[in-house]
Amino acid sequence: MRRLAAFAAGVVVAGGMALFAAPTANADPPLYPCYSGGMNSATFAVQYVGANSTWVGYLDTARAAWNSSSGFSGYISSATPSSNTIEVGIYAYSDLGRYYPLGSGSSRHFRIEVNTWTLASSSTPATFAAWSKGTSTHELGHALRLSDDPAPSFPDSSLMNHARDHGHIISPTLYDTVYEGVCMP
Amino acid sequence: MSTRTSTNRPAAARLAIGTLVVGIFVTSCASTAAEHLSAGAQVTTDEQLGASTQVAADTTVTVHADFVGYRTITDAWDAADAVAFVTYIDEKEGVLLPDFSRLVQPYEDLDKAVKYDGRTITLGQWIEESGSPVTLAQAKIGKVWKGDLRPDSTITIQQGGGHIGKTLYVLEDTAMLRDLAGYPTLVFLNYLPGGVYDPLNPAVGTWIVKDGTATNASATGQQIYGSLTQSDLEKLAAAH
Repeated sequence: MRRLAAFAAGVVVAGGMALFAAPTANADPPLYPCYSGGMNSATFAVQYVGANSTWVGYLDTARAAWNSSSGFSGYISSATPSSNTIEVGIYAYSDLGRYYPLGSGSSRHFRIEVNTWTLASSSTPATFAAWSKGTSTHELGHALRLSDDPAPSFPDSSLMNHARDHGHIISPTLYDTVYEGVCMP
Repeated sequence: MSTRTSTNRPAAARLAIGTLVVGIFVTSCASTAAEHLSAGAQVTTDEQLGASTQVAADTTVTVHADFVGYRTITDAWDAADAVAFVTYIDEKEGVLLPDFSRLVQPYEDLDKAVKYDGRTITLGQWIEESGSPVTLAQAKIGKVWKGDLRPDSTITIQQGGGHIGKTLYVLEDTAMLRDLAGYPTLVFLNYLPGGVYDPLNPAVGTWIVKDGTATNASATGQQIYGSLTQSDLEKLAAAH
């Protein structure tokens, strides 16, 4: 029933998006392939690694962004220890963050890397916090089976789009929560 | 150049496009939802993306990332430290630790490595605890369109993905340079500390060059950026 409701909502969301965005043409069908590397349930705990007090706040915000989303039936808590980790670090690569699915089947868990170096070099001091929260929330979206770039022509329609405005799209959109409902078993 | 741009389409055309998109979406969404509700048979699973990788592995795992996506090729050009044609030579794999002081030796013997906090960790612990599998490709520089690379010199390009034991980690949407070997490749590069470059992002980083046209080598990048002709590259280089 939840999936049916999510599907119906998806039609409404996509229809509105398509009509709204029609003047920019080249519209891609907003098909959202689900990510099989996600968790088996939307309720899980995650352990913070390498996070100072500022980053604990960012990661708490990322969890809260999902937990408070309308229609989100799971709950993401923080716990130490947990087999699921978010590691805050300085990585020598240009990605903002990476999500590694670990284990399989009933033992599925994950590790997330959040790259403070690229976050700092890509944002401004004024937008760093927003970028950091947004990337952390995005990576948790992968744990919820959401894939990337569901609708490349509508970059701000989804937190999972890489070309979104990283300074402003920092929480799950309706589009994301609808498809979380579709993708999560 | 296939950069997305706004167009002044008549209202009827806009309505038609909107209707078409809704129609496509409804069809796609219905299919996706139905498949998920049954066996997920035709849903695009990310594990499929690694199927063409040349190196044998017992398991292929797709790693997802968040990165800066560029809405136009001009934005990507502006953001890149260097844009050039390169030719793949060779590669090796390693694991990258979250500390630049470990940038020099992350690619060495994984069994004897000492983690940045001083603990010695074993091969199996890397992916569980920390560290990104990466592939370091040696590439010969051809024509340089932007940046201070020297033609005919060799650089190291770091791409996400590689083996940990018998598990192959594939970074989503990444076209590995080894898979483009035999053709000149157009690369948009960032300079990393330690004298290594990496693609600006997986979607815009690598382009395969055939018959004078560079075609984006990633699935998402192909959707967004399409292809670049020699004339497009000359215009971008002249404008920046």
